[in-house]
Amino acid sequence: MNQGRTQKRMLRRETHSSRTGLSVATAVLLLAGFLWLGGECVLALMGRGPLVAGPDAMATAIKDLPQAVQPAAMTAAGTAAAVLGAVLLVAAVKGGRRGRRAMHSERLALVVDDEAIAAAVSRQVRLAANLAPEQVSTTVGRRHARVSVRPTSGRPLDREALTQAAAREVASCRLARNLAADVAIAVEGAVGR
Amino acid sequence: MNNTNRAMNRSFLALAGVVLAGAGILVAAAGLNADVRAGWTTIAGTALTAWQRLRETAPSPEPLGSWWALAVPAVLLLGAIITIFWLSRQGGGRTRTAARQDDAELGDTAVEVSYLAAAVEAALEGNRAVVGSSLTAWRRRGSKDTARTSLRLTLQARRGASPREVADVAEELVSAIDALLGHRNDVLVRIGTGTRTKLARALRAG
Repeated sequence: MNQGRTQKRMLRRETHSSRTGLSVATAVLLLAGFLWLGGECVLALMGRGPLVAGPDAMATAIKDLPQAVQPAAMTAAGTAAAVLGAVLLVAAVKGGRRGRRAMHSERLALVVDDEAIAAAVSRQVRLAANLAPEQVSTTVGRRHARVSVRPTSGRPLDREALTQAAAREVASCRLARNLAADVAIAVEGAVGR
Repeated sequence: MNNTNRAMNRSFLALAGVVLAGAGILVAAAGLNADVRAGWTTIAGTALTAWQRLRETAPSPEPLGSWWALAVPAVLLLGAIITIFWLSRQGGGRTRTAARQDDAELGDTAVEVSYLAAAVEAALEGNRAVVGSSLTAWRRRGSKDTARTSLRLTLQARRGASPREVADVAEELVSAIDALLGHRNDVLVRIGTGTRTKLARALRAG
């Protein structure tokens, strides 16, 4: 495998969930089911009493289920199972992006946490506006870095300059796909200090 | 990073999802519609009769009654074995050897990951942008070729440190590792934030 393909593969694996947790949980439940049913069958073959219900009793119970259970209860249980199944299906199909993204590098497969980008952007905006740390916060979404600033009362801020500061920091990261910087200045100010 | 087969994970989840959703929809339909309820009882009854008839085709001494009765636990056991095999295939591939060179005359040399990790730790001593690091290695399943060992370097950035600055540190570290080992491994670098980032002081404004 050449360098580029290996790098792409590593980046993809690092920025997306492997679905191991859900898959292991499902497999463990399935295993428990297999072992229990198998155990019941073996006990029945040996002529011992069942753990919960023997295979014959279970088969009859399934046959008579519509008569034995209230229709409303069946609807509720069926819906719950269908929803759970849909959740598994969605987990199987959706991308499962983690809060990380690739950065450009020749030599390395380089991945950065969104949180690290957000902290760096907050810091640059704070320096540009001369604010206290708790007045600036940044969230990094899929395509945007959203900066929200709470100005000090009585000291208006230049939104354009702050957007530039944020965009400069994002651009300096040289991400594989650039983020748009977006600064929102709150109407209410913080008490000056 | 490990050898988990992700496509298999997703196929398995999709299959489980379809089966569960299908069963759920059937049960819910039986709850809502009397015709489905009647059909359920009829079909289940037919299936039970068919099973009884199938049992009689291969009679065996008591207490078994029929060889077919043995098939059910066998299938269930097979299912359990496949599931255990599936679980054992998750993850794996981590290795402690970062590089290895076998030479008939000079002997074999192996470099442990912990050695490289300690070197990285020492190189980062006093670094402004990085508060912590960890280094692990993993190898593809079945691959003995040590050039195929991949390294994963995690650097914990100080709160507010520029990711590019940390990336430059990583590039330097990796070229130093290349020089130490004498060949280039595939390297994955993650610039992260973690407990060390939260506990360490933020970068000062000045």
